[in-house]
Amino acid sequence: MAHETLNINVTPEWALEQAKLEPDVGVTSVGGLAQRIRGFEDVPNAEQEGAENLSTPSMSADPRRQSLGKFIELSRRRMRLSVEQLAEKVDVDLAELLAIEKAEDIVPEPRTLYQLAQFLRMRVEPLLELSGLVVAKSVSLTESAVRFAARSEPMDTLTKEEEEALNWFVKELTK
Amino acid sequence: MSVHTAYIIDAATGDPVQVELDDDLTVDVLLDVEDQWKVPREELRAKLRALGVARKDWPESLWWDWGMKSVRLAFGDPNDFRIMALRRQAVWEAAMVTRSKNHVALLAPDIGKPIVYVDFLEVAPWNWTIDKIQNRKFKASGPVLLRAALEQSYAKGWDGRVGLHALPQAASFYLGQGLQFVKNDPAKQDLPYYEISAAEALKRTGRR
Repeated sequence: MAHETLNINVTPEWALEQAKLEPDVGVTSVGGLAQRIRGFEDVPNAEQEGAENLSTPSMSADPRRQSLGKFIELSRRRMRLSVEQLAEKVDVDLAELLAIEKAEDIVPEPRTLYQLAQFLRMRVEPLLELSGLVVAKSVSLTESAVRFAARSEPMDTLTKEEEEALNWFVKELTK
Repeated sequence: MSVHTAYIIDAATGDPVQVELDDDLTVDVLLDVEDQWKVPREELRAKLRALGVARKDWPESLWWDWGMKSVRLAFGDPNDFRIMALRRQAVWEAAMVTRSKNHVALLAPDIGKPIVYVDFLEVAPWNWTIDKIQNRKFKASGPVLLRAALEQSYAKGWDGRVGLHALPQAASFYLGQGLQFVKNDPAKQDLPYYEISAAEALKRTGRR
């Protein structure tokens, strides 16, 4: 048995970065997000939706997707960042970030959600669930998403009500 | 066998902790791993039962037995499998078995090219977070081993391509590590199959 020599360089800094990215319930979650990943066959795509959607993405009717968009948008505005600035800070594609905020009928890249979660200092699981990438048995999150989507309107600066709605939703996502 | 210095993170303090990464262990070491992990697993099962947690919500690898895996590997092709593990002093914190024969990429543009296949990867039971029962002791042990699998792929000239079937509870972990969901595999009890592309491996290993 003669295996190749490996060149492995794991520094403390690299490990710290990995620890930040590691989901808290990724290994197991008891009574919480019992997850299964969606198969590609479950995800609507342009071919299934018709050629029209290729050029004009429609807004998702799913309240979770809408609340994901609202959540990202309000979090960004609270930090007084433009979409371009946020895309640059979290190193994600500008067009994809815009599509997420507008709740367009696209499937976000998992990496994008991880980058956003890391930037917002929160667990990634709720974002994966809201995006539809992960199917979770969390009925309460759906209810919270509906209430959140209904309570916020797009404006240049956060109103007191939006601020309260965002704070409440952050608590729902992190509890 | 070669030993590398690596680091995992103390989940309570956030401090890096030095460990040894053994990258070419013999099958008998897995018996030692099982010896160390068996009792903590049994204790976890007892706590889950006591709390009345439904079986479907138990950690999915709670039934793994590294002793049995070692027996199967002992009859396998030693040029196919490779055993790696993380050791903190005398304690095994995570273990992995990779295979390098008969596995090919399913992701474009490298469909059909060889990959390193992660047969098993598990962290020690005390490194699992389980709601209402325990917080993990150390973080980043899984990513360190996955990194080793990527490096094995590079050493073979396979551009970092790695594939694996994941237990569903580990889906978010592997997505976070840059692997892409490819399909649910009917040949493996419909488990989701994930792969990391050569392009993503470049990013993950800091080569680009």
